Amino acid sequence: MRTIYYAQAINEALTEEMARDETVLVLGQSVQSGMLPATKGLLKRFGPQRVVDTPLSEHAECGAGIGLAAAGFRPVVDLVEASMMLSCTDELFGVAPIWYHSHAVPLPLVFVGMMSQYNGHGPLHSRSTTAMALQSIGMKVVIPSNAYDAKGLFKTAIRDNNPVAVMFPGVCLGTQGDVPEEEYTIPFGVADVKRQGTDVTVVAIGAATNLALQAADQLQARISVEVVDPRTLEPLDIDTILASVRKTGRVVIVDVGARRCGVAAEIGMQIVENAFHSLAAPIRRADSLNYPIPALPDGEQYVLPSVESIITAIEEVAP
Amino acid sequence: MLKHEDMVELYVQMVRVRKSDDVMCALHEEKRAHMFPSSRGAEAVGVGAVAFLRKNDYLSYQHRGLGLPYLLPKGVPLQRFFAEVLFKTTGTCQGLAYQHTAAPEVGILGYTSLLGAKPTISTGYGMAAKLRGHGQIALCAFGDGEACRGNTHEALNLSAVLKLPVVWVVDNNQMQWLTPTKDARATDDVADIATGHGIPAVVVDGLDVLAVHEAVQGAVDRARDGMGPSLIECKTYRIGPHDVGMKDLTHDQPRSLDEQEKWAKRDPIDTYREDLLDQGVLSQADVTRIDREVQSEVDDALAFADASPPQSRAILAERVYFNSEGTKRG
Repeated sequence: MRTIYYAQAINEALTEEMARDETVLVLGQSVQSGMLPATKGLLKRFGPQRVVDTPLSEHAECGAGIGLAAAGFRPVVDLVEASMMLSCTDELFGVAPIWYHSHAVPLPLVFVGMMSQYNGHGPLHSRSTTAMALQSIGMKVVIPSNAYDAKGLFKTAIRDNNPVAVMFPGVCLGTQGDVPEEEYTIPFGVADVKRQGTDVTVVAIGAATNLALQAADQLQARISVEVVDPRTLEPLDIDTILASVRKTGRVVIVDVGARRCGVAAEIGMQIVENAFHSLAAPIRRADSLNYPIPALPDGEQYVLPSVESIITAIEEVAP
Repeated sequence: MLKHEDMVELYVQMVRVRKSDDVMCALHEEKRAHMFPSSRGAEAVGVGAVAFLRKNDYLSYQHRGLGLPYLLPKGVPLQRFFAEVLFKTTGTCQGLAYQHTAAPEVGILGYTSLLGAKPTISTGYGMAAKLRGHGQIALCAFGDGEACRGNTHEALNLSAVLKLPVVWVVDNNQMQWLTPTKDARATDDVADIATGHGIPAVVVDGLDVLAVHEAVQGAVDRARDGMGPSLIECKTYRIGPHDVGMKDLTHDQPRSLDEQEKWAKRDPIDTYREDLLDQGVLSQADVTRIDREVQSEVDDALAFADASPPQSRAILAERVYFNSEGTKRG
């Protein structure tokens, strides 16, 4: 085993898949530049036919991805930031997810973007598009929280025959993790219990997983916290979440998206529907407060989930 | 100059479109088909543009007649078209999509009624065609309304910078739902948006099937030769309301019937038939025979659709993801 950066893991995933399958290609803004983690070095190796720089045209990038996928290629559309999904809603949330439903023509298509929370990027670029993606029935949604998951899940996304939105938390790109040299993939719909515990279940997504693990460390003398990372939100491994909740009876859900109609609300409701009688305390959410995420440094820290807000939530439900 | 048999082919295809459109209007009247934007007056655009494309050329069609002027000459079986609008399992989308047609065997990979997305998707077809390098092209038809969408402009620009083998065909029928196009865009010609993106464009009479064909064929040849995209704007006029049975307004006032009658007199099929008769390409007997044969085809197609089993909601679970077990690899 070796230790590599998250950014290198996603670069390896794309490089390996492009080498493995010549129908895989990547398009997006400045993907030839080598400035973006996923596409660094690809131009030199695969050439401009398969590493395509586009104008600043998110609609056209996503539409081109749909057309290429329908025509038998496996495009990866690099939107750079996940918030850019707001710029191409017609194609990304409207058309791509229902293409197979309507036409029985598969779309092996991946959209990638960096989630820019905790970078002071302000209310537009720090906005989570995860809930919007989940409302787009027909699209799979993947948010890897560490280097190992990022590589294995990204490869699975590229091999999937359906539209997949893969969102990489920006704060994770500089983290390091153990990633084997050997080929591997990670199946969708399998949650990972990142830390075992007995008192409180924390379901944490993407960047929030690492915050939850820190919170669990700080509380370990008093409260035994289990951290469950769903890794893919669609398909969602609700069984692993429910099994943990049945064990602890107490649950906190952490996500960087806005609280209102957010991912935490959905997961919480599924727990209520399926494990209500196992609950010993109300479910708590430590997600993003219902404010625009401010650029103001102490404001962003306040609105987004933090180690402190997760600890507070855990303490509220703990036995 | 087209051979006589090709000139006749254009005529036959337009008659097929008109008679199929008439059936759709009747089905709507009988409340068996819902929303239907008739293609009356738009036949020459689709038929002239598509009739002589190659089978594997990609096509994104314009929505008048739910695509009939494009779909029939491209080779979509009429019986499957009717089956689709009647939600039958034998439909082009297995009865799930009504106004969409997918026929991958003739280069139609789907459709979207989110106007503006269709041109962007067509750039992907163009990229696929270019990557394969077999001389395939992608033809995308849209209306004067879709020309006002921002993503249409993104698509035009992308096709130009990447020099994609895409042919853009515009059916400018001068109405955008209930708003006349002259009040919805500041220049007379949609072709202006192409030249603004560095794409060569021409404006032709969209009621003249030979003029449409000639202009589009030039653009198709350019695309096949690697010279990039072109745009052909075909001027037509919408006869009747946006959808059959809908109020026919311009802003809040009834549309001028005088003006509609004036345009209807230049019916693209009637005028073309007269020309072919004058030139001796068709005889009156040919015209009668074609009429009878097409009517028989249309009747048979509708009977096939009627006799087909209805689609059931039991299929819905299978139509979210393709090959979902494929995701368990690894």
